[in-house]
Formats: sequence, C-alpha cells, structure tokens
Amino acid sequence: MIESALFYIFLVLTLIFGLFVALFRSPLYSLLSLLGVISCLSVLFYFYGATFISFVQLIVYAGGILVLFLFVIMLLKLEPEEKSGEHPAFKVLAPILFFAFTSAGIGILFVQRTEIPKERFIMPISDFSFKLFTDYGLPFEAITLLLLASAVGAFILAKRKI
Amino acid sequence: MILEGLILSIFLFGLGFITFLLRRNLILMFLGIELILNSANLAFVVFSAKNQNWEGALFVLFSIGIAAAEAAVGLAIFISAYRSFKTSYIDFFKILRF
Repeated sequence: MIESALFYIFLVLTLIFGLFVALFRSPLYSLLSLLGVISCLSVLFYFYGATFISFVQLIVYAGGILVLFLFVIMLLKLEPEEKSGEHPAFKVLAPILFFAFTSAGIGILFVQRTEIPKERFIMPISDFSFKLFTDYGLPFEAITLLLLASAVGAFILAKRKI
Repeated sequence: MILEGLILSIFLFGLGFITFLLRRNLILMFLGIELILNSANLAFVVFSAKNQNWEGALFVLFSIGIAAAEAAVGLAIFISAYRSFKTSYIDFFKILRF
C-alpha cells in the first residue's frame, strides 16, 4: 500500500520536474530540473524491479553526464534566454504538437490494452550480466568503440589548434 | 503500474520535443534531447517489466552509453561554436566553419 503510494508520488514528481525542464529559461535551473527528473526516474526503475538499471541511472547519468553539462554551463557564463525574439509560429505550433502527440499516444495505449502481470519481478543481476557478455557481446563492444571515438572526437573539436 | 509508466514516458517525450522546438539556446536544446532519451529508457524498463524479460532493460545500458557519447561530442561542438561566435544562440550560427 505504502509502496504504491510512493510510486505515484514519484510519478507525479517526475512529471513536475519535466515541466520545469521545458519551462525554465535559465540553463542552470533547467539542468537542475533534469537532475530531478533523472533521480525520480531511477526511483521508478527500482519500483519496476530493475535495480541495477536504477543505480546505473543515478551513477552514470546524474553523476557523469549531467555534471559534464554543469561544467560547460559554468565555464561559459551563459545568460538566461530572453523572452522576445522567439518565432511566433513556434509558440502556437509547439503546444499543439505536444497535445496532439500525447493524446495520440495515450489513445493508442488505451486501444491496445493487454493483460498486466500482477507480481513484481526483480531482475537477477547475474543473469543480466551473463546475457550482456554472451548474447549481447557485439553491441557491447560496438558501444565501447563508439565511446572511444567520441572521446577522441570531442578532444579534437574542443582543442583550439590541432 | 504499467500503463502509468507508459503515459509518463509519452509526456516526457512531448516535453523534451517542445523544449527542443521552442528554445534557441543550444544547451537547452541538448537538455530536451536528454529528456527524450530518458523517456525512451523509461519505456524500455516498463515494457521489460510487463513482459517479465530483462533484455529490454539491457538496452537501457546501451542507451546510456549512446547518451554519454552524444553529450561529449555535442558539448565539444558547442564549446568550439561558442568560441568562434561568442554566443550560445543558434540564430547566430550562420556559417558552420571556422
């Protein structure tokens, strides 16, 4: 009972932080709201039973990627975006697109409703890592190559002179 | 529990999408892309919890790796563009060379 209440509290908190990401004009406030979204999402992953993914989300996403964004924002002294100068068509078009997309998605969900398992199924980490290094070995190596290439590319791009 | 997670994933995708469309500050557009990636991660986890099969949750690891690569290259491009144009607004990025 209390677990289900906590689940819904974190669901609403994620939505509120997501709204803050879209509505804040200052990059720093928007980034901190994204940090809130990611922390709440990691709690939701825990409720769905994916414990390992929940910790990876906290450690890698919040601790690695968002801190990289924070460093860049603090290095460059960015000012908040001013209100004027936005193209007026986008201001009308974007909420229309948002509501059209969300209502279409939710409509599809309610049309294709299927049976839902009742009990919570917790992910066994040993099976998970076994599958990661046997069946999904090739994608894993591809991701490592991608990370290496992006590290070298970022270094070359951010350097003043090669 | 499954349905609510999917609805939240749809809403997060929409919010990220309008962040990407409405903002002209490059770093805010990157934050919108991160929000979209997170909504995809949530959908992966919800579907794997529904099917009782954790191969979907494996792809969240790959998705986080791709997000890290995207953030590194994107921020490097952003820093080099900021250095040559002295602004972060994409309206001023008219010539994409040094």
